[in-house]
Amino acid sequence: MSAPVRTALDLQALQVHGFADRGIGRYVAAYAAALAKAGRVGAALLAPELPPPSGLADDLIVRDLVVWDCIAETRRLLAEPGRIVYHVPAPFLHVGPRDPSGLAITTHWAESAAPRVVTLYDLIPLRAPRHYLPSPAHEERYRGRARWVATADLLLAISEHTRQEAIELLGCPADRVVAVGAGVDPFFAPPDGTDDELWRFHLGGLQGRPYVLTIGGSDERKGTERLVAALGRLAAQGWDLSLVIVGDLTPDWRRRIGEAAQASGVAGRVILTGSVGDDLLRACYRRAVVTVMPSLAEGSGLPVLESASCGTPALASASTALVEVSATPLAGFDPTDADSVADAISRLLSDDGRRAEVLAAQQALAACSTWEAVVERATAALDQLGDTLPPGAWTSPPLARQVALVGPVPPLGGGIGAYNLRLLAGLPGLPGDVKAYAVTANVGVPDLPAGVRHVGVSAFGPDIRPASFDGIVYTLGNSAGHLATIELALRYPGWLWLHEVRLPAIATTAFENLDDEAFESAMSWLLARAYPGRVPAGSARRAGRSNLDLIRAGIGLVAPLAERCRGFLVNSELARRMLLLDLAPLAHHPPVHVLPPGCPPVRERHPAAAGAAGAAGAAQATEPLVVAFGVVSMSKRPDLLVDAAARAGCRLAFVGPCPPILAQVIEDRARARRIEASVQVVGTVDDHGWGCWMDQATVAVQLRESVGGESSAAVLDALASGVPVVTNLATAAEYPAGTVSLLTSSDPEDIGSHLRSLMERPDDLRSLSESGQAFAADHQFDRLARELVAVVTNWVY
Amino acid sequence: MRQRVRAFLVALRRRFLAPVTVRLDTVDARLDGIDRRLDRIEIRLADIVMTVEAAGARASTATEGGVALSESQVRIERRIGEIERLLGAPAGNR
Repeated sequence: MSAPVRTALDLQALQVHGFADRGIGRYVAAYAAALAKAGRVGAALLAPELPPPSGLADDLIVRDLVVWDCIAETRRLLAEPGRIVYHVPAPFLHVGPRDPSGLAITTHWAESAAPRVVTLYDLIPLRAPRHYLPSPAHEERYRGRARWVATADLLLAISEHTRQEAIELLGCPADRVVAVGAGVDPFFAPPDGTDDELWRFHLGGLQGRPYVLTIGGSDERKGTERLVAALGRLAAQGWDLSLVIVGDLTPDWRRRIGEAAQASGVAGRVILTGSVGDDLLRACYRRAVVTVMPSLAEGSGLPVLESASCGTPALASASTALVEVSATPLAGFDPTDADSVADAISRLLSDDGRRAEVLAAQQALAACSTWEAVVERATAALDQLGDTLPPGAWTSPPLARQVALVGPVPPLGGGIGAYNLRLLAGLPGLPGDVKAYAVTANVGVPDLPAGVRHVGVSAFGPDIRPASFDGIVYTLGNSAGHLATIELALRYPGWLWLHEVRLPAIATTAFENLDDEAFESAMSWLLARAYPGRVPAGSARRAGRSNLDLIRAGIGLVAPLAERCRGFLVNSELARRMLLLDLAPLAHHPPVHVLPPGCPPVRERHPAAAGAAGAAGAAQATEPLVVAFGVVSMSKRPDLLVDAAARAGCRLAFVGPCPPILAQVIEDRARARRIEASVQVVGTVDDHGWGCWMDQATVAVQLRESVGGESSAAVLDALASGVPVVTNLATAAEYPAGTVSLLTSSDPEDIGSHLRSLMERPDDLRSLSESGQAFAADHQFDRLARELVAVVTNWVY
Repeated sequence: MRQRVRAFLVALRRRFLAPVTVRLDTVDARLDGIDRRLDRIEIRLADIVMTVEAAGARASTATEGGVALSESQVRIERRIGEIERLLGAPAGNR
């Protein structure tokens, strides 16, 4: 005999507001507990994107079955011996676009090819699409999900009516749809005198007053207004009855019920309890003269059986699944006719024999409607499925490793965007079948390397489940351009790749439009959030909106991000140390991994082509040329470079985006030093121009005013191009000795002497060039990609 | 004789040193002026640095994130609000 089929049971229904506390949530909670008791739950899956579960049975936790539904767990479950199905007991939670309940189908389960089982409650929206699917988006989503349900390997219907609906509306083969029914919790039992105090406290005003009970809802289908009208008819006939409506109604529906009661002359007889717990619901069942379910359509109608279990007969519409739970035609009425409803109530209440007969029939049905019985039918169907499907259906192919890189790619993102693109190119080719996704805020689909799929930021979460990725990497720099990345990082924890470890500019540029008072207020709150109990208030106030001053004051503002991430990735050991200084001292932190630099491919230099770049000072072309590559900013001290060039007697070029005001500063400075003919601000160049300048440069220089822990893409480019690099960049000191020529002073005289002296030593220049290229060859993007994937997917190469 | 020599020296001083003293005074005054200018330049430089920083921040916003290319100001505002909500900012913080 084969081993029993187990389930990976999706419990999202317990996490979605509006479902967890209602019929479907209660069904899922009780079914899961009973299935676990029968030993058929391999894992109870909770969606990491949703709120904590409500009504989760303790037994599932005790048995260590509850896990977050993610690709790693799927892989683990599929690797376990035995057969397992992916069981979704509430497939239609997912109906609202941009709504938490609109969570997409889990890609990792879809790709696992594990057999799929669903539980079906009803298909009422397909019967009344104009009412339940108000927009094309709703309809598309619902019908899409219906198709997904229809192709399940096994459908468990909660009633025979729903089973027939699946066959008729979804076209499911009859042998794939099994009615398993619903269970009545043994909690619903006849009066035992234990809830009098509870009853008096909540509904003491009803003491001694006979009442009809119904479970309402903010939906016309529930027929509550018609029941109120029926109450009016009964009152006119002399019946002294009240109506208790249990259920969470919207304000609009409370008003509608009130108006209906007014119109029927029973305003003082209608009591709305709102949402109640099971204990008060049971107390209501026990004391009602009759429970009435006037709904036009239901997939089951559990309240009928719960009421009977509590010793109160129920009347229900003679339609849909309510016919099944009513147990006898004596309990039915026409739900479209208030007179029929009133007549059914009056006949039941005036005929003790009829009342007893209805109650006996319903109690008999309730007695065999247990969760054990439901699970028995379900497990029989599962095992039948086990016998029916070919053995190959139970063997899942290995799941590819899914990696998402969230952040800009060109034309967005400057240096980080370019770095991301180069990295992405290295991902798909890695051993172990890596699937790479680029999640970007780009408008339209950007040009991506072959094999990399694109996901827009707004689709990540609602349409593409983050939990389906082995690793999510958020690439961050210090500007408000990364807000979309931050928002996703806070929602869906992953690895934060900090290209800069101090991020005050994200806040200052995001708050750019605020007036001073609002800015200070917003920053104060953020500082208190990042440095609780030790706010650097004074230095922050002095710094104001100055990013340089905020950084100098050690304000990195990274701590709030550290609360919700798998770990940090940084580009240097120095960055790691600086990051740890910004996080809460003497507390636990997420892991911090130092990644190797990624260099572009090593290229040959072609000095002959250099002229195309059009360097300054053609007359002095024989003089050595120092080039500052990359974005020009004050933190790179272009003023010092001009002074140093004057001292060194060389030409100087700034190649990269340069704000006009800095170009002015550079030109003024060059004029003051009388070297204006030798200094050129080139500005932005294309790839070809960039290469020409690389070919032409005698030395590439990169200065930083302060220690930031960042690496420089311009330096890595120069190394790959064989251009000797002179820098005071602290992270470059971590490269092997001889890779770059390190500056130890920021005095322009010293820098100038250093440059002059180096440029007079051709052997040293050649040695730097060769070492730089060797370093670049050893630090290509494929190596970076491999190490990144190893860290974020916990994969060992 | 002694007196004649002294008178000669006084005349010599008057003739040659007085203009030098006047010149020195002038130079002194100019130096004061330069000092004041340097102060003004220093203030202006600080001003420029601030402007540059602001321009740099805007430039980096444009280049780093390409916000203008990707998202409208309204969406950015909404993101900021959403980030604040995720971080637990009290309502109306901004």
